Amino acid sequence: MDQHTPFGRDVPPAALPVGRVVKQADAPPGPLLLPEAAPPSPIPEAVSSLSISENDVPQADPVSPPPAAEPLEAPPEPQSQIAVPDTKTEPLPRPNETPAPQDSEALPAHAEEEAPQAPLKPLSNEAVTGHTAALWKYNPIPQDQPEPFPEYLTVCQEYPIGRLTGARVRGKKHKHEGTNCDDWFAASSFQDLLFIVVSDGAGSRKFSRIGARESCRAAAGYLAKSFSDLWAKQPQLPADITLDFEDQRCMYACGVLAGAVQQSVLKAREAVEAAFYTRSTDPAYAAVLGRPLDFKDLSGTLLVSAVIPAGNAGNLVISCQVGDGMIALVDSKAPFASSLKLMGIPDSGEFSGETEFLTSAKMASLDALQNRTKISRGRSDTLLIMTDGVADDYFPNETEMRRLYFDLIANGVLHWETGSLSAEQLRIYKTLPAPLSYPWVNDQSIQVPLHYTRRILESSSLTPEALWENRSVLALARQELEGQTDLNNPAERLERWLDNYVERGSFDDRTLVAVEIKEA
Amino acid sequence: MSDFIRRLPVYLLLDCSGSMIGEPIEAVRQGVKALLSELKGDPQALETAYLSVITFDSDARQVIPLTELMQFQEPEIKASGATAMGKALNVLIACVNNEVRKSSETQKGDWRPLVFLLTDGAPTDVETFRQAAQNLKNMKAANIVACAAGAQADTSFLKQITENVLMMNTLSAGDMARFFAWVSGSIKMSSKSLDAKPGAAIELPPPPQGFVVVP
Repeated sequence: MDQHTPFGRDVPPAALPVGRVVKQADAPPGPLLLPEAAPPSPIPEAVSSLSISENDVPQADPVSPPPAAEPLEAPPEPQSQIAVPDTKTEPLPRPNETPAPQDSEALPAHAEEEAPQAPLKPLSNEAVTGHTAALWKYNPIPQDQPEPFPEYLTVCQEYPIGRLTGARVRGKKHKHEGTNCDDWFAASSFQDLLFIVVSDGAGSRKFSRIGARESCRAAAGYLAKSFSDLWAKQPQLPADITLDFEDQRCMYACGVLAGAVQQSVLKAREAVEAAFYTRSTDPAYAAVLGRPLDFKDLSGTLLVSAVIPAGNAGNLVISCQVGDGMIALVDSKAPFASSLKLMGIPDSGEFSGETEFLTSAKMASLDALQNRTKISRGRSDTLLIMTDGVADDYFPNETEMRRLYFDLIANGVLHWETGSLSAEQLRIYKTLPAPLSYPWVNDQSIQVPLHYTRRILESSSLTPEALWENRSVLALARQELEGQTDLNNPAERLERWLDNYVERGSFDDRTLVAVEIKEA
Repeated sequence: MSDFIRRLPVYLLLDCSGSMIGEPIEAVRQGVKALLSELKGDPQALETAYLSVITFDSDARQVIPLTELMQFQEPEIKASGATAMGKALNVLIACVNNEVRKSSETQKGDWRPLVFLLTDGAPTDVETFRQAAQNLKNMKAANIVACAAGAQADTSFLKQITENVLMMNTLSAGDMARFFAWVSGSIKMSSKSLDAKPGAAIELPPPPQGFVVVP
């Protein structure tokens, strides 16, 4: 697949495809700005289940910043978008099939007109999304503004440590309005280490996508270079991180590596500054904004994860997060209750709070990043990094991230062996609802069938715990989905899923990078 | 798992006092009708915005509770009596407290409510009004836009509720239509800018021609 340009370690600290930027003109001049009154965000608390909380991590040795990684030569952008399969084929008939949302619930024809206080039976979310599906329009990305970005970014890459599957899709809102996707992601590697960076450009800023792209590339490039230097200068580090956590050498090593991860966030910020300065006098940007370009116009979140093999201790995962989104670690072999660790620390507040951005003044110092760094070591084998466009659909993350994990198996993104199903599993399989189809926003004539764990749990009366024990049922259901499509690459399936799963009120750009770590 | 979506609550506070009798109240009716038809064609508004109507004359009441757009039925609006704007603000406060969901560990909170108040006069329940306006300001729980319609409207009272006060010169059907078109544009824009971070300032479109932003 041409568009799945590898961006592996052979292309040294490589980053992902490059795009250019643009954004749709704002509303006419003189917007009325309402005052904000959001309460301050509470300081995020450490999650106690982690192997080490950030407080235990020794202050990182200021890692001497190595010479800036060479600008990552990015492979050509993927131009073509994958064809979403036409699925006029009938889904396999199943008992208890749930009808498509369009039909599932007739709208109450008339509410009590004369008794306005009588509470109406609320519509189901599916009834609403079934109705709005036909109203979403597709408008292409305008090519007449600076730096238009590609419609899709889709990557499937084998690394020594495991398979990376990543995709980013333009949200329905941006498709409807004909504006750019503001998300970006990049990855890089050094030996058997893997680094993933994801950013969500601020929705309110027209050129935030440039900040998102530049920050991802810079952080990914810096991490590969920096870890390579560390491994050369402190050759004991790879062994030290396998020692007991109480051991001073291990604590020191973790501190050094966490410091490098934090440093990559600062490098990302510097790259955004540089990107701002090279554009600040360019009239093309000012013309779109109707004013000079501002540093804050390049605002975005940043989520960084480093995956470092730690021998018998499993893998060391270090993450640092500025702004919203989520980073989750799943141990697929653990019991349900201990299978999930959240590695992200989103900012949040009372009315759903404000987010910090990489461009916020306080993100220029390491201090602010200490609280945003998490370290975990163990057997977890699946790392999921996503922007808010996905994370927000799995709220609260503490429990719902497992539903995301199930959705990724059921839709053919994460691998799970079907094996031979027991009689009980076959019985469960038969209770599963048929895939639910919605029209593809890009082409309403194409229906895209997908599995929804939420519906599976509802119609099978399984608990999430029971589904965890019977994941092979999901894996089988996913094969059936495949029968209706011709996508045999997990990244394409991820792209299709991100591009088409429907949640009411969810129309943001969606980016998800999954790493399936091989057994050591 | 929580099935709640994050809603954008929208409250319309409509002055139905005696001075609105005739063309003005008819224009309000038409305006609400047009507002609904506009919003019902917008997928983002349909998925997120919930609408409620509070009317006030000698008394105030919520005639339509916070309702899904797809289920929203136009209220019956009649004009009579005085201008109990203070009572209307108290009704609003009670509704926001009862209907708007706060974020919690397990529940997505609603977006900050958007309130549009339209009046052609000044409160006749001045003491109630002063207290309610103060309470509302202290709550900081909503983004409020107040519109003074016609020559008799007193913007100094409205300024006690919010910094965002608009003035339209006449109560004509044309001006009223422009006002409601602007309200629908504002709701659409708000439902679009939601991902621009909840709780943060919401940008609204520039007011329609002939409207003045009261400084």
